[in-house]
Amino acid sequence: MQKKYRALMSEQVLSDEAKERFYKRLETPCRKNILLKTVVIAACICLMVPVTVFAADRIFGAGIVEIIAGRMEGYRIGYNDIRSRPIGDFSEDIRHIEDISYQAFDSWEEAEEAIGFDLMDNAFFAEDGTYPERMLTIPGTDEGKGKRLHCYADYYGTDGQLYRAAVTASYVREMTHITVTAAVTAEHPAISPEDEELFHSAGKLYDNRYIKEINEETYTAQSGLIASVVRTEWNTLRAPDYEAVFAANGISYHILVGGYPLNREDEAKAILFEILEGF
Amino acid sequence: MEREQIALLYEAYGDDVYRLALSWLRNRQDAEDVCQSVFLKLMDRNTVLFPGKEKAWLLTCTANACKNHLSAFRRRNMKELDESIVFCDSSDRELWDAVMRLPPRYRAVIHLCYYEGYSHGEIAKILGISLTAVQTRMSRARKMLKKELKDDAEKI
Repeated sequence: MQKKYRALMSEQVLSDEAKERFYKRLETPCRKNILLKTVVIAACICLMVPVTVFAADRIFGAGIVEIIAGRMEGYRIGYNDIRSRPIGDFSEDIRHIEDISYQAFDSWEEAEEAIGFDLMDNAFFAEDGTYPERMLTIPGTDEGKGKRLHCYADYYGTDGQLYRAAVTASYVREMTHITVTAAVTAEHPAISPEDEELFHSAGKLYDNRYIKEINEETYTAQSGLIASVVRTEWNTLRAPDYEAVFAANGISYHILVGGYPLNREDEAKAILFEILEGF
Repeated sequence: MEREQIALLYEAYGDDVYRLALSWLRNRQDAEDVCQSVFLKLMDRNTVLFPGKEKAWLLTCTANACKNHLSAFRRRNMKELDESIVFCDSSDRELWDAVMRLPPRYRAVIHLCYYEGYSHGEIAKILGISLTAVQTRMSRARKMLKKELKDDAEKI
């Protein structure tokens, strides 16, 4: 089959029209329309405030930092997905997962394979100086207790169908620890409103008692990606955590940068921004 | 990079870039567009190509461009198979359709392995994924092709 494939692919070549178009384009000097550029920049500045508010609201619903009333007073940093995908988009292996289950992997790519999605690439995690780290434990269960994982996927399904799949991986750069999560939800005909609420806002929960200050800002990367960045300062001797949440192509992403020495906050923040620029 | 150098690279590797894009996007027009954008990126002053590594760089760039193209495109819908692609031997259509029905990431590893003849390690570098992921994709792609091409199963 390899021979046959090679033969049939050899027949496929660029058309003369495509070549002609390319050479024509290659000969065209780059035009720098300064007036247009100025107008666009001015328009962007004028629109920046309302657009940012609109975008953040659209992506993250009611806002990403909220006070939880009831059992615990505190904050939740949610990473709402903006839309669900057809169940057929997920890999066959996980479509019929029931309840909550987990799978551990040695790499992010293996987890991608398992859920059936290409998640966003980021060169930062493949750079020299960034290393996969085994520091994750599966949250909320005894499963995997005592084991330190680099990467795992967690699934939630009900009525014989998957509803949500998420991949989490952990890395270290110098003395800063980074955890990345990507979550995708599937269209589910029978999901209850309670479950929907739970899994669409499944973020970290912070107890008010340990928080000195929490604030958020919007970061816009050069690629146009808009992320909400949250800084959490603790009232213990622990360096502030930086988190970023954003959604792209129907997948929500959450990045946590923390665990660094107290005097290296600027570097930790720079790392988070470098990661956001890498998407 | 100078325009003359870009033109030389286009002559040498244009078809290879186009074929990878075609295997990924399975549509001629899209593949030609991606091919053009990959070579035009060379006009960027910051682009540095190491001698002997030009083809690998171009294929990596093509893989990323195809991924981005599909991510943006999936938001709208998926295109049907391009029926305008013709083959000298009409029986090739069956194999072509079977490969093109594979998920895009499987098509890419099949193309890089079967057509370009890269090793799994080289494919991992080009696609920016782990060796294990390449092996998994190859094995799954082969299994799927086997299922699709029942008659030719023993040849896969």
